[in-house]
Amino acid sequence: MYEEIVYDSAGQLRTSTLMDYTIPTAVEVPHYEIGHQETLSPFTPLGAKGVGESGVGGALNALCSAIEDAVPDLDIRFTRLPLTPQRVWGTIHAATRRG
Amino acid sequence: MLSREFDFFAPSELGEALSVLRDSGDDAKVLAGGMSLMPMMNLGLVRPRVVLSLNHIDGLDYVREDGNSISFGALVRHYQVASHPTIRRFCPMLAEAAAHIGDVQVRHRGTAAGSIAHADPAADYLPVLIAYGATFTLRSSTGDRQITAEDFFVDFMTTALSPDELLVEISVPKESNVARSAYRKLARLEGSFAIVNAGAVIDRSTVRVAVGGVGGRPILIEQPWEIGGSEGSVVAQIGQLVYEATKGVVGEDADYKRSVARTFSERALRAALTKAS
Repeated sequence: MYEEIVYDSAGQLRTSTLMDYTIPTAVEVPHYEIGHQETLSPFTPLGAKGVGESGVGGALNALCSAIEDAVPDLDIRFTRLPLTPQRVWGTIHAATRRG
Repeated sequence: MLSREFDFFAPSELGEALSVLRDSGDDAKVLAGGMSLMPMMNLGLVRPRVVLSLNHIDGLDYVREDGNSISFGALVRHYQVASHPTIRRFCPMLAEAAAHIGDVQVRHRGTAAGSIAHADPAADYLPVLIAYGATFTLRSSTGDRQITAEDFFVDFMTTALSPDELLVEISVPKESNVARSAYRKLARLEGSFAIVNAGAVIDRSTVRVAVGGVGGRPILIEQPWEIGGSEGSVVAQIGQLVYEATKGVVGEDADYKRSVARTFSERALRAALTKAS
């Protein structure tokens, strides 16, 4: 929802400070619960797998789906992150109503 | 990293500070809390030859009740504005806006006068001071002049301050007993500069709404309360006036900004209306 590295058309980095890059703080991060589905890897001695990035994918899709679900009468699909207010507003205003 | 050397003055007398500005105003930057100046110097965005600190001058951190207005000095910090009983009682919207600035450390260091003189068009104080009809006292070695907040803010980080002048006092009319006010801010992160912000003051006869973040300086909409109909209708009409007044706003997100400017001025108005008068 927040973090993005933005370059302008001249290749100048516009998010060169952590303020511009927009790191969410404790105030912005929504309450969430993490569900675990354990499947052991058959390829490692203890069944261990890599962690970290693999968990991010689900959260990103959940966020996009939540916004799409909040406006069920609009035909929208969020395919680009982060979900900035401008982007969400623009997508909703450009959307056509489901027939 | 500071990219060039500069002369540093930290006088203990206001007169001495004004002399420094008279002699080198064009090349000087005034330092109070340093919450804008220091990052800008670190980023190389400003490179003053002279830095004039006000922090050793006594008697600039007062808050005073002056008949029908509240006045405070150039070194009053944001946390004082947010928590001072006199300001909270008579100019509650000002205290409300000050509480939105930065974080605790920034509010204990940064000054109201510094933020005002810096004049970032998305700063929290600007629409509030314009909606209240505040007056500033600008002092130079040749004397004082008064200017309204509306005339003071000229454009993006541009004010009516001359290089030899110092903003020494902010004077805000007390809300009358029948007035109500509210401040609303849209920002991506808590404490960051606003995307848009709006201050609304309603009294028996007039509605004043100032909106920041759209264009180089806040816009002010002032209308008699009788413009028509129910409360909801007045709110919608003012929102529409804000939308029309921001027609000149340009940029890739201009449509978005104009739309949220309308929404947040309506929210500020509705919040003010729900307060007990």
